[in-house]
Amino acid sequence: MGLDSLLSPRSIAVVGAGREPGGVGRSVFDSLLSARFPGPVWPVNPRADEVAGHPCFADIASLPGVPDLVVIAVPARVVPPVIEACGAAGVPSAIVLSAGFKEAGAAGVALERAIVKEASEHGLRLLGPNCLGLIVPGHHLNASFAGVMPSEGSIAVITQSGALGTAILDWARSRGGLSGFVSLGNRADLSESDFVDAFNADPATRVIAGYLESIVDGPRFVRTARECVRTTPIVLLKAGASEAGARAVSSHTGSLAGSDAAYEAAFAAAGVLRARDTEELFGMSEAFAHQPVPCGTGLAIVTNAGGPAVMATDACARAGVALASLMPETVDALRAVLPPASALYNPVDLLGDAGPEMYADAVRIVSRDPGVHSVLVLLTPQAPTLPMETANAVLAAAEASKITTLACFMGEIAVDEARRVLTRGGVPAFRYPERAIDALAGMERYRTLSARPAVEPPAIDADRATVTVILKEAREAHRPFVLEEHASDIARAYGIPVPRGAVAADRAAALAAAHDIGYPVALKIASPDILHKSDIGGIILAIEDDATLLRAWDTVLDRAHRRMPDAAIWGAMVQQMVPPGREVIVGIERDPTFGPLVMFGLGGIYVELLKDVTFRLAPLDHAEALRMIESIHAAGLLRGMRGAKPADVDAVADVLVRVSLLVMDFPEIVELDINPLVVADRGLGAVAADIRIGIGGS
Amino acid sequence: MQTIIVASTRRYSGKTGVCVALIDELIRRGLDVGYFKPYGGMPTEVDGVVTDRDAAFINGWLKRPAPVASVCPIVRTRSYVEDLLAGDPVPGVAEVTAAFDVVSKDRDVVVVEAPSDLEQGAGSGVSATQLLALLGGRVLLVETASAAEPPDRVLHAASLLGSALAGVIHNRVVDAERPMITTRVVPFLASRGITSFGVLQHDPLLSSVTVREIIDELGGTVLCGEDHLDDLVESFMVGAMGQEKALRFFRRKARKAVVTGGDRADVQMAALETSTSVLVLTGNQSPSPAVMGRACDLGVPMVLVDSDTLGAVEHLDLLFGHVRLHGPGKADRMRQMFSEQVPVDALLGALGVTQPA
Repeated sequence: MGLDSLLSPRSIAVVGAGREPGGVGRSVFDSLLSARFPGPVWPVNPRADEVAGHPCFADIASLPGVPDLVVIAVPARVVPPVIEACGAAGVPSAIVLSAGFKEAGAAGVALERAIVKEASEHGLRLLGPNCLGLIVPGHHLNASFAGVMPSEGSIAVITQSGALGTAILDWARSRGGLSGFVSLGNRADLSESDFVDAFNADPATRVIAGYLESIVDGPRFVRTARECVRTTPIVLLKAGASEAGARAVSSHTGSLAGSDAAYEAAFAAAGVLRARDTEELFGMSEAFAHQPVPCGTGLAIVTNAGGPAVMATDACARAGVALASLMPETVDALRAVLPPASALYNPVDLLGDAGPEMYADAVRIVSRDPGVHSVLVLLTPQAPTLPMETANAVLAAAEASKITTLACFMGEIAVDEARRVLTRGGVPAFRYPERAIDALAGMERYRTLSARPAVEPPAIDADRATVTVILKEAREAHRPFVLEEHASDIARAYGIPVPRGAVAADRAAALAAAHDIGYPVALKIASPDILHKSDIGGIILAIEDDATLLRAWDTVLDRAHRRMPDAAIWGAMVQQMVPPGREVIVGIERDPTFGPLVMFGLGGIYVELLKDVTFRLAPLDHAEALRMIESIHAAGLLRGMRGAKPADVDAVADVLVRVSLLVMDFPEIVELDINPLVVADRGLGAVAADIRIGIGGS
Repeated sequence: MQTIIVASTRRYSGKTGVCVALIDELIRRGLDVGYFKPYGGMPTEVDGVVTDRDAAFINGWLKRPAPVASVCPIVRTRSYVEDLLAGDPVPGVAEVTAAFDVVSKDRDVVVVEAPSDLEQGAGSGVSATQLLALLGGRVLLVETASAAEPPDRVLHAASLLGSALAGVIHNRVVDAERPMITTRVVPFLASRGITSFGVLQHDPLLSSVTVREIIDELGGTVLCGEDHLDDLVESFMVGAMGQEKALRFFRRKARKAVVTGGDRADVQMAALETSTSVLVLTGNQSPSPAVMGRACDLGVPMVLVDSDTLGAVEHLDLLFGHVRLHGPGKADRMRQMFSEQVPVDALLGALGVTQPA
């Protein structure tokens, strides 16, 4: 592992440790000492002889040895010479806590660039700048100015926000502890991917939890995370999903928040679980940290309250968590120990006067049922309830059962301490049943994700040379969009079915094209500036003869000139009529972080009004393309309903795969829309009736 | 001495560029060429003399420049318009004739750039047709044609200019219209006795302006990227949408100015992700330091302006409408296009230029 010197250093120097307590450098120095860091910790400060009774050194060169890690807490402008000295001395890693770099404007950008350059020349790895620091409780390492030291646990936290980091550390103190804590800061060198890799290799870490506003290197992150989740789950809170949130991210960090669809697609591809809010981040992380991942579906709910059990059941339905059907033997066993009025089927209601033993018995019995792979223990503080005793009884039963057990003790004053005891004891306890179910749903999802086989993009026959020539020609002509007929040629080169057609610059050419294709034909305005042809009346379908074609020619061109007087118009496309079918849309978005995304949705109002679309990272294989099609709400319309035959979804999947490979092969394609792709009944194919390909400005 | 009048029926057709390219061809043929612009619309001061910006530029670039005061005798300043309307004495036909005598002295050829369209200058007696009567010579029309309508303006101009019309250059023709102009409009004009001397394409470089020109036009404070004020800007886009749409939209144009609010960090970042020459931040709202840092890192100037987005857009519209040749490489590009696509010797013959043996 490449980050040993950072995460488990043998010696540390703190540059900027002051004589007097207070100040960032001194605070780090004190934290390192009070965490009982086992190796030498050297304060560096030219204006001090000693710091907190320890001899102080004037500079890096005067140290008695080369430290594995240098923590730098001096003003930004004096950081570059310190980095230079570290590099010259052969220091392998440094944490720059100082602010005043990229986040602070132009001068800071130059400083940041200077330290990255210097560090990379010497093979020195940097965390930060502008960060809170690093904590590894298992190594007694607290190289931060957070002022607190969490106990040893199994959650590794990666955060882009130092300030949120302090809240996480405080939370961790009251719960189960951490295996590591990294505040990423500006990520001038080391970024989230490096720490995902490092914590994945750390045996103390059972789950990686993170707060991120953006990702530095999308493809690397997806690769790294995908590898990681085979053994270690990753739960991330990605902020900046809304338009206003995205603006705040840009303003805060000087980076693009990126489209939320891209993050959804990337996290899905990487197998990362996305937390919607801080509570979910904590809840899911704790579940992974303390409980085994369920080895199957089937939840048993044990409760002393009917209402919360119903709420939990609703939450299960929403989150896709299946309730177990208890075996007759289980029901019999429950009947033997529970009062006659109890509900013996799942949810198992012990009634309001349930005591600790009854909870323990019920948990033990349902856990033995072969159809049960997880248990949720629900409790509300009723008059006879003994929350603390029940907590201890549940802990003992869960410990014995070895299956995934979560608790939800609802209320506050009467149950708060019991919740803490449960969580510290290894059964994460939630305030609300919905949160517990969300955490369990995350664990069940992870079970599937971690078992996914690696995907290789399929090999297809494609005429790449033709596409290369067309794109080169368009670029040389400064066209942001390739010509209509060339877009069809590109599609054909990648095996995407397109109707026959030609762009005609005048009537004579239009007639010739129609005769060549054979009536009926469609006539569509051909202009790089008119994106929504039908909106301006630029499409006329089912033209049966010459006279109609000539009238259509005038109509289409006149409408275009009238509605869009500034548009450059190539003429109109004469196209073979596509037999009617179900209309879907296939497109791409090129995300600045993750690269090309493939979009799929049903045409017309489904996309425009209902936003019923889905995105996946390219490239896709056929199976993923089919899952993609299934994932939209209106997928049922393609499966065939109310007497309609099923549509040819295999043909749609094939187009999705081919589009994904096309945009992987040609990064210069920044826009691509097939709208509509007309899908015939099963076995009869799909045709790209209209395709637009953009290469951007050149 | 032969006089060539370069005229147009519509403003912004690219007359100045054609003048530069034509003068260059004449010089290369060993002729002593003068340049005269009787009526200018872009006042500037050179050596204490009020003159026209383009006129001063072209004259200064000649081997043997004429005295600045003679190159552009009428400069349409606000005072000029007020004086003319009030009936006060203003430079007119007499001054133009006198200045032309100075400019044309000992020249083989003088290229006269007529006012922006056929009407301009009529109030002072120096519209294109009046100039023809006054100075004689032959006329070259520079036109921006369109395939959407017949070339009525050219035909109308031909009827006014009569036998003095040597021919037409179709200029700034967009890619999409080129086939129609070449295969239909040119032969049609020929059938009416009007010769076309080339179809020159629209070139984004030629209609570009520099970042500095934008700042001059809008006024404002440069926040960063001071080293890139001479970078070229080919178009501008307004950023008022969300980040995802902005990215898609901004990718369509290269070397652009993006006009957006100072508080729109998301739009600014999207612009910086694509080919952007300058960020114009309206409403005098300073950007976030983090975004500014990124712009600085990329060397993209950020300019803070007082006006709102609508006001800035109006200014930029005007700026981009008028092609200037001052920018680096522009005159060379125009000359290259001209020499490649115009049958120069045939054109000079039609313009009555006698070439040295």
